[in-house]
Amino acid sequence: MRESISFVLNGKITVIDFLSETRFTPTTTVLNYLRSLPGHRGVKEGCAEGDCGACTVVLAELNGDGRLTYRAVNSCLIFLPKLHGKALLTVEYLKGQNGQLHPVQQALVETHGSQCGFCTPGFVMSLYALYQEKTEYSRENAEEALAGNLCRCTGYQPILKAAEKVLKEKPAADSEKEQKLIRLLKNLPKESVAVQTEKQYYHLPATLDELLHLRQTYPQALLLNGATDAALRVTKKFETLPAVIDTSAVAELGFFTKTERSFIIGSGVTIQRLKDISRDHFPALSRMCRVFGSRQIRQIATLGGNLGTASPIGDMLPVLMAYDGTVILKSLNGERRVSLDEFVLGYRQIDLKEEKIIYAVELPIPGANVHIRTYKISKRREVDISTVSAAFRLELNNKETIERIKLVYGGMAETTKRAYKTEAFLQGKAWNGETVLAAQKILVDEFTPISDARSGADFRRIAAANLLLKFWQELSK
Amino acid sequence: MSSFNIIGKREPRVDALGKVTGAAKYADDYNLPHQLHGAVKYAEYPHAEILSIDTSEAEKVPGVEAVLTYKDVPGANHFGLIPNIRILADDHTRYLGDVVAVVAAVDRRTAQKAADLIKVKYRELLAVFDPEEALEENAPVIHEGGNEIVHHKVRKGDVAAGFEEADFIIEKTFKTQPIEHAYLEPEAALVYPDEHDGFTVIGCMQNFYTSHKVIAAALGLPLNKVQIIQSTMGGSFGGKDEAATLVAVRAALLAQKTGRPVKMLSTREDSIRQSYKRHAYKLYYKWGCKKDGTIAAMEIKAVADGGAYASMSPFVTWRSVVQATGPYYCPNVKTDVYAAYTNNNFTGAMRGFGSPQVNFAIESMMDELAERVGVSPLQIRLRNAFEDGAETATGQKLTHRVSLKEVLIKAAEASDFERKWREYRSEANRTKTFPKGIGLSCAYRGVSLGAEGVDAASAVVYVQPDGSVTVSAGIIDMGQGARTVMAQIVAEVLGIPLQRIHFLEPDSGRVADSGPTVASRGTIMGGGAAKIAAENVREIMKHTAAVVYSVSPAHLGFRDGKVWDDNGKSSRPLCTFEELTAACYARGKPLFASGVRHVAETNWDEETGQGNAYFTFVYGANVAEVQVDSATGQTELLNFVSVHDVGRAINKATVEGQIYGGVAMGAGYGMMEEFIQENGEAKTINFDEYYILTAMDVPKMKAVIVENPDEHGPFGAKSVGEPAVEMAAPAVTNAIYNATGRRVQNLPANLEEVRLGQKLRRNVQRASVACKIEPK
Ligand SMILES: Cc1cc2nc3c(=O)[nH]c(=O)nc-3n(C[C@H](O)[C@H](O)[C@H](O)COP(=O)(O)OP(=O)(O)OC[C@H]3O[C@@H](n4cnc5c(N)ncnc54)[C@H](O)[C@@H]3O)c2cc1C
Ligand code: FES
Ligand code: FES
Repeated sequence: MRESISFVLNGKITVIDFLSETRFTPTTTVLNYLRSLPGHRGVKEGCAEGDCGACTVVLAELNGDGRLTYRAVNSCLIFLPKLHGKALLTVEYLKGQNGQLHPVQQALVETHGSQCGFCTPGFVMSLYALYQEKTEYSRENAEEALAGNLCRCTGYQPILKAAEKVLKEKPAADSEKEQKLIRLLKNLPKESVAVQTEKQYYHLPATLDELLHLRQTYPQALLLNGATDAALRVTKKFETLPAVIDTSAVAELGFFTKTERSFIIGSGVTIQRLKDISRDHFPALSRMCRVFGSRQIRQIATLGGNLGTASPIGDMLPVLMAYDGTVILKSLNGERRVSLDEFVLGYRQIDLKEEKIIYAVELPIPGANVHIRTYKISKRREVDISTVSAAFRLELNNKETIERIKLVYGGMAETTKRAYKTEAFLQGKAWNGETVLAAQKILVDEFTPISDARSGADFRRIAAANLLLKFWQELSK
Repeated sequence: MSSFNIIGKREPRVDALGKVTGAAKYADDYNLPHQLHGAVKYAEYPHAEILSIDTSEAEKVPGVEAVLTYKDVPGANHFGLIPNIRILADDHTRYLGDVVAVVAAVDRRTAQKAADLIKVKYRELLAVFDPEEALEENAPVIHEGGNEIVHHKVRKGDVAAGFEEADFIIEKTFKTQPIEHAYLEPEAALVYPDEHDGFTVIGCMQNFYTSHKVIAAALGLPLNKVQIIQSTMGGSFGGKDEAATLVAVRAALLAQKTGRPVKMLSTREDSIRQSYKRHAYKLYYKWGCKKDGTIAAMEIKAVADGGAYASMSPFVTWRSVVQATGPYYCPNVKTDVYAAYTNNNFTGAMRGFGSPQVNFAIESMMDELAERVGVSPLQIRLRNAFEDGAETATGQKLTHRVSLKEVLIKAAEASDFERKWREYRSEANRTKTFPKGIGLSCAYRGVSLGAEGVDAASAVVYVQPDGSVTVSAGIIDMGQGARTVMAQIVAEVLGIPLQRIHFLEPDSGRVADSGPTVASRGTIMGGGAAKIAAENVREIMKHTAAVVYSVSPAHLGFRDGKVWDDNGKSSRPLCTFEELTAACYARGKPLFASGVRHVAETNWDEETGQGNAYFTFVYGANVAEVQVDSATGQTELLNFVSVHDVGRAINKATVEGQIYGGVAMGAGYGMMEEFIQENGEAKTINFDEYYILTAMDVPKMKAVIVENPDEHGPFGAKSVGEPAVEMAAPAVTNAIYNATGRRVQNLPANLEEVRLGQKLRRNVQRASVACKIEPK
């Protein structure tokens, strides 16, 4: 157990000892840390809540086969201990030996991809991660990777052009710089961290066993994984989080196993990875992951964290319910399984009982007669919290009547909710236009949603009913 | 003028290097040892009388160095065009972004904590949030003298007779929403006392000449004791005028009080809460039309929400009144545009400046007219479009090349408009789950300030003894590329490579007051001044060269880094630019000159609204292609064509940059952006609820540049910054109409508007109930 964290900052090993350090605490964000250092002010703050990407930096880590993986992330949402054992790369790292520009920088110069320039270091880093990951160019890939970086000046067109330019030109194989980084990372300590200062303690266990013990000892501590939700409490509300257990270094939570009949996915799997894992057998889930936040968010936000928020507009719960998912909870005393239909108890309240830790989610692979679709209505198509979301499951028998139906809605009530009345009405009926129209009438009155800045209550009701119609239209094509 | 060396080239931006490497320094990147941090205490009622302010608890917080209220302002606490903006609220609060007190402390958190401890007693007053209600007789009065900020008129011909003559009438009401500038860099300033009893201000102020005057007046100091240094700006779009001045002057007051450097930095939430917005308009349009598709009369009324302070409302609405009838012939016009005070965020300058609102109405009306007459949107516009020598609604005869038809036709061709428009209006398309649509819009725009203000700009060019050159102008670069454009102009005049030129950010001591960098006047005015300054320097060089080489100065040419004798048939190089520079200095001729650009005469009659409003105009056309989800109303932008006559493109890539950025901003205005306030309270205060387009939302864009050089601009250049944004929204809503057959009359065309044809939200009270004295 260590009281300090070690990471590589732009090629230099850096150690922060929170006991002797007065400027930073374990819940200082990487953004604030960087901006307080000399020579690292390329990183910018535009929103301090993960929405603009001006603070984008890259985290590089060694993966299993000794190679580097690169993730663009929002430094405004990342607490310092999350750097432990990793490399933090900022725009300043990209400078070549003789001051020459990195290809992504050169491309942005050539395409006029920077006007006022405030967003530019963030775009540079998002593009850099793509480039280092040797991503295949397509407009879709580029848009997907850049949607978390806002730019008010350029209209993005020149930046997308820059992305095309650099991604088409294949990066050189492992450069000297990369080799050096790999050497440094290999030498970094990886063991768990426990910081106890006057005002707070922050634990970063490295194994599941440690985590379960810690959970037993500190039942009141705030559990974190990506902390995309929790970080806002520090940056926006100036809260001091007195007790934190950060699960992000527990490799055992990031697992994924596939059996004949189901997938078991660890709670520490990021949304970005979930998108890939689920592509073939759970396409609706994969689609939902694609429109979840921005890439920067998806690369740190986790499945377990999303369920943990129990937010009525959380995007994972409805679709997982449609897939008949089960959550697996764990404690030192063992495991407990809860159907996701029963997992959320009330507004931002979940059924954790004494287990306290979301360990994994099990999803049965649906049969061929099962149709599952998800819908997310938001003001903006992506990088936006849902106004209304829905996940539908339909099982038809061979007479085209409804064997089983599940209509799950987000944003319509204080929790994610199934439209039980409408489901009951549909059960056993013929799956056709008339049935759907009749069901819509019930659906419109089944919920009493609220009005807020995103939308009015009436619109939510109408939209919810419309989504059922859309589901029918899509399936009948 | 046929061939240029650098003008028109796609030169990389001169500031690109610093920006892609992260080296560029923005206001918050400046720090000094022992600096303090500021925080603000906001008003707690949108409209209230301030009875007392108790700062005692705040002062006790360890680490707090100063707490200031209006009583501590040594000089003027008011400023503005109509000087009613308060630096610190005094007798009243008028919107929830008013600041009652400021605190300086060792760090931001301490300062904020202290600010939260300030106690203010108020007497709440009736508030009003709707400009039309504000103009009613018994409305609560927000400023002495009433709520009408301004009333502009245009009167031409005889509208009654015109309507009489008309075959049919189209009458519609439109509403536009307030929007946020959303510059990525929030306002920030660092102010420090200097060794001569003065203060230096480093900040991001779009109109730093005004900031300079406001700060000096507030501190009670002469102008020469306050130095303004302009940091690299992270965007502005008209927004960092009074909003950035407020942040800087509050920092200056704290620096003066404490004798220490003070940093004042807005969070995104502060920025959106305090800053002014684009005006919301209610627009009443009535057109008397003839069967042949021409327009006999237009009667227009528009009411703009000015919010708590006058700011630029008088000028913004003046542009609206001048351009309210669009670039279309109409012999009989009666237009009235009002701006009124309300208890909403104040509204002011924003890219477009009073034109996006009227353009939305005009271009929607034009499509309605096309529908009634049974011709296409392109045909109806070509039928009514201004041509060379046309007379505008204000009685101005257009003496420049009027290229409206040219841009319309180019836009239609580049987008295959006519064919698609016909295809998409079919039943077959409109009944699809995802119908497509295509929409056209066009506009004209008066260049620079026009008759609304004094218009002159200065620049200074200095050829240093080694032949490298610095340029400064009173025009600032907010990201639009002014640095690059001005460097290109100077490089062209002096015949040297762009790399030899360095653009210095202006500061208050370097270049004479050049007015604001607004109204798309950067290139035409600042660039014009830089050209004159460079020519003045070149004149000095020519005289020296004439003496040294015994040639006629009239025959000297400057190209390719050399000085040439272009005597008649032959051209021969005389020396390099550096050699001539050295020769000049050796003869005691320093190469330093300034240039001042004045504009052609404009004039205006307040009563009739007649006159030569602007010395020249630009023309543009947009085409948007969309796909609508009929179940949810979600609209996706597919393609966009934007055509602009810019006079001359000094740098094609920066012009395209302005066009792409303008389209994204304008389309966002059309379909998703909205600054939402409920009873004066800002609801959309960060990017999780204030939406701008992302890389995924932007359409594939095509920018088409048309060049009809104008005698008033440097090398014929006019402008593009604002034209790029001002007509995108109606192109989008016209496309939605083409797809769905439903007309969007209220912006933005969000899900509710598109799906249901109305907005459902909003249970805003008409005027909040008066409260008794509310001790807090
Ligand atoms: C810019 C931005 C965009 C976003 N977009 C979306 C979106 O599109 N859709 C959406 O649904 N959400 C969105 N979110 C919300 C949030 O990021 C997600 O809910 C995310 O999945 C949370 O994951 P995390 O790992 O970051 O959770 P954390 O913040 O680490 O934790 C969230 C909660 O879960 C609990 N928790 C975490 N791990 C466990 C565990 N193993 N066992 C028990 N409890 C646990 C925590 O105690 C905490 O209460 C967005 C957030 C931001 C900042
Ligand atoms: S500052 Fe905006 S995403 Fe981090
Ligand atoms: S260049 Fe200004 S925000 Fe992107």
